[in-house]
Amino acid sequence: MFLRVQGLSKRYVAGGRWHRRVHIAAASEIDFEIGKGKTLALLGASGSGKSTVARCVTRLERPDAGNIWLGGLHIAQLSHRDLASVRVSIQMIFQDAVTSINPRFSAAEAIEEPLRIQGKNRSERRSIAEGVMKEVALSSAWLDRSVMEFSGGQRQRLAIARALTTQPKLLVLDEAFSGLDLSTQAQIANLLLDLQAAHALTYLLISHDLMLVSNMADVIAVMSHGRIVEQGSAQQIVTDPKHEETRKLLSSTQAALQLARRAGASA
Amino acid sequence: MRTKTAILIAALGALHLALLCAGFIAPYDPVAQNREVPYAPPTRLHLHDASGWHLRPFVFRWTLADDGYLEDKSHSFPVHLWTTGSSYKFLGLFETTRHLFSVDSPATVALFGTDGFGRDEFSRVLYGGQISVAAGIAATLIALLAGALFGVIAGYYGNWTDQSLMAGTELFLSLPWLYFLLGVRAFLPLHVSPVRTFFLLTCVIGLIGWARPARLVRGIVLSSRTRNYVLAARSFGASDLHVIREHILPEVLGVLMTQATVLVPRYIAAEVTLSFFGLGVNEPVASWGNMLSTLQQYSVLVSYAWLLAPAGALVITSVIYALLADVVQSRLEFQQPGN
Amino acid sequence: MRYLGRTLLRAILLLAGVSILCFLFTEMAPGKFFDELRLNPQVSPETIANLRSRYGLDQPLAVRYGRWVRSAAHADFGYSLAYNAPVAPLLWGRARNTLLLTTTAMLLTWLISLPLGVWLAARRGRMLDQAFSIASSFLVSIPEVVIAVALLAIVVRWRLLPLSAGPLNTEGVSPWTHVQDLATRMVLPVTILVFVESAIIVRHVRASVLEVLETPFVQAARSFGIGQARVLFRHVLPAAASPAISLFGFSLAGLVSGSLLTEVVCGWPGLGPLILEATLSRDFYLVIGGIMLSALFMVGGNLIADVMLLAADPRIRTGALDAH
Repeated sequence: MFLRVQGLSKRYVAGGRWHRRVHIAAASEIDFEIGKGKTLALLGASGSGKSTVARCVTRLERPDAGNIWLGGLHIAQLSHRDLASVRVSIQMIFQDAVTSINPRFSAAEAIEEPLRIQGKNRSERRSIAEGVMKEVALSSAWLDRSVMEFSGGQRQRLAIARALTTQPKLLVLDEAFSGLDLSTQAQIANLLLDLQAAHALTYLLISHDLMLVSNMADVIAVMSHGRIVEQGSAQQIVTDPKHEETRKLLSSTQAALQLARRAGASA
Repeated sequence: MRTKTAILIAALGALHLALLCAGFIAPYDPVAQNREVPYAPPTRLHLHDASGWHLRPFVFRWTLADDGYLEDKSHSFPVHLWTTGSSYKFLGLFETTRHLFSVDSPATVALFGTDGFGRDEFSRVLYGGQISVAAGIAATLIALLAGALFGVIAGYYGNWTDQSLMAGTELFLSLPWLYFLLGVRAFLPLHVSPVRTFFLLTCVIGLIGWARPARLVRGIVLSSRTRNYVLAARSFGASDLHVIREHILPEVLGVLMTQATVLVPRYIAAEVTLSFFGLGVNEPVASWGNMLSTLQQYSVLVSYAWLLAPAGALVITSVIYALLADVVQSRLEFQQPGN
Repeated sequence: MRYLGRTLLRAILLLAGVSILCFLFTEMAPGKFFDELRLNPQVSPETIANLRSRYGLDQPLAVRYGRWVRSAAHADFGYSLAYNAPVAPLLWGRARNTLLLTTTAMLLTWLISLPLGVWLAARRGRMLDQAFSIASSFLVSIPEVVIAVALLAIVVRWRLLPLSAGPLNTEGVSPWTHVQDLATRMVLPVTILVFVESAIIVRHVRASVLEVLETPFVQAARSFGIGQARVLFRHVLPAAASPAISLFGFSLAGLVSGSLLTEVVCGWPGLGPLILEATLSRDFYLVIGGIMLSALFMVGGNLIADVMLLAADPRIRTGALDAH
């Protein structure tokens, strides 16, 4: 097991000085594990707590309770200083590529940022940047272009390239496909599958789109109101959903699937 | 857009350069009085006389008659370029006596006329501009530095630091600006050396104005902190310093630049207003403000219109800055990460 | 209701803060204020003794401040040494003159600017609008000093108005002459103020109306075939009201403090020249009184604007705009 999460819980406190404080249990008693080189998808409607889990795993937030093991290392309550060495192994791809890369940067500057933080010199950074650009199927001639000149799908590739520079072991994809059109989604999905095969990457995929997820994930965990309500192999979940939430998600995509099939049949 | 910016920056640069080289461009010393030609109208430059057209302009001497000044056409005085005259310190660095142009005495070439003491208005406008514009720029720098400092602290540390600093800005923003400026000025020593006055003035004007830049900078810092690209940077191990340097500072600088183009003319006007009231730079040092205050006497205002020259200079300066502010503002909006 | 309470509390705290700031600044005055007093031949020793006991003039800052606050609660704002009279009546008398000027100017400004701004927004891009944009950009960037002096120069040069300075003469003249006299004296300063303020306000009104004109809901209304005038009055203006109300609050806030320059240049016997003289003669309590009065108006004006906004904009009441 490469990533193991047990009993993860996180609470948020809402309300400021003038309103009453409300405690929201964003995630409670989360248990799952992902094998090396495999993909687990956290599925759920918005507000179900999936992003919270993702942020806890990447330690952008500290969980209130529970354990997280990454390749045998217990990271749930590590201090920031100790986390530094672990950070390079986990990378996150955000939902909106437009906001996850500083638009003032050039492609090279954006991709090389993790390397700058590590203190690598210019030529090293450049050669690594060229390497990852190739891996995400972007021309390295575009390295000096401003990030704003890239399309949404290309920017997501840049984000992936940036994530690859640190040679990570775990990639957390937080709604990484929303905001992209269907054909671009498919391209990115294929790219990610290729990269997974090439580098034995482990993926934690966060999404609300069952159709997409069923193509990529080995295991699916369905979340609702901060808890995992159903978990199983992708095959199982899609063909034999047990929980109501799963069925709801399935039916909304099934209609879409039917439409797609009909369109495909008549083409 | 590009050409417009370029023209404006060039115009601004030319203006500032002219003021910096006031000593060179001005034919006379700003405090040199010439009691023979008080309130003289602008010297007329002639190119044509009885013997035909000349390339080099020349002037006649003003003589005081019963009902005003008359040109004494008996003797013409050509305008010389690159001449020697009274000594001054170029850029405050080295002494020299070179001037751009002048005429031989006893004629005078007062392009903007003279004031009640016979002092050359043109020279005084240049030297006065040095004071007024420098005061505006210095005060702006103080306001922006103080504002940026507090804004970054408030935005970055949040909680109580933020709350108290923002309460402070609200306090300063609800102050009646001019009244408060007067009040503070009242309690500082009234009659000190011009250098100290200048220093005092810029500090007071600048320190009162820290509130708005602080708010703007705080806003930038707050919104930048939560941006996904900052989160991303943290997720690959960025330190606070890295985040500030690479993601927050560039945006802060952008905002500060727009603020600068707005504040400089405002603070120049503040200095002019204070000096106009006699609370700023005092005689005999020239500042656009104290030059305009003589116009409060109606007789002077009516008869000697050329004494409005500092007002004209102030208008030109303000307008160029305002146009530049518009351009910078729209440029910056275009570059926002949100777009 | 809570919102109102909050805003009121904030206003009071702000005023307290301003007064503290003022007193802090007096600490910067070199030399003991008291010694200057004693050197002044116009002030008798009895007055000094009186002042000392009443206002604690030789006491530390905190005591002085405390005494001042206590007196202020009784509407006693200290004593002016230059005028040898209590501050409050002095201030109030002059403030009335200032308010006369500024309220007239404000009324005229808004009467002109609101319709003009709306009209220009409706005619966006056409010749008149463009001409106005250029003119107003120009006007807005010119400092008030220059406008005041320039208009004064025009009036004086071409003898457009009879000019007199000093207190308004009320003795021995019929009310009608008095009003006439007042009106003639008011023309120049009011014109200057209207010039300066309307340039700013017209631009803001125009901008906010334009912003509303381009929103989807107005475009939708238009596409339903609703007439131009109806769209304007029932849809656009209410939506554009919020920024206009804020602006109105700013106008209110500046009622006392916005006309200092104009009053001095035109010789209008208002608060401005009084405070200026007080500054020049280091008349301690008078200066502070003046600042407090104008601060009162500033804070009050903003308060009124907040209340009006609360009534006008339903989004504030529901807290929908709170981004905590």
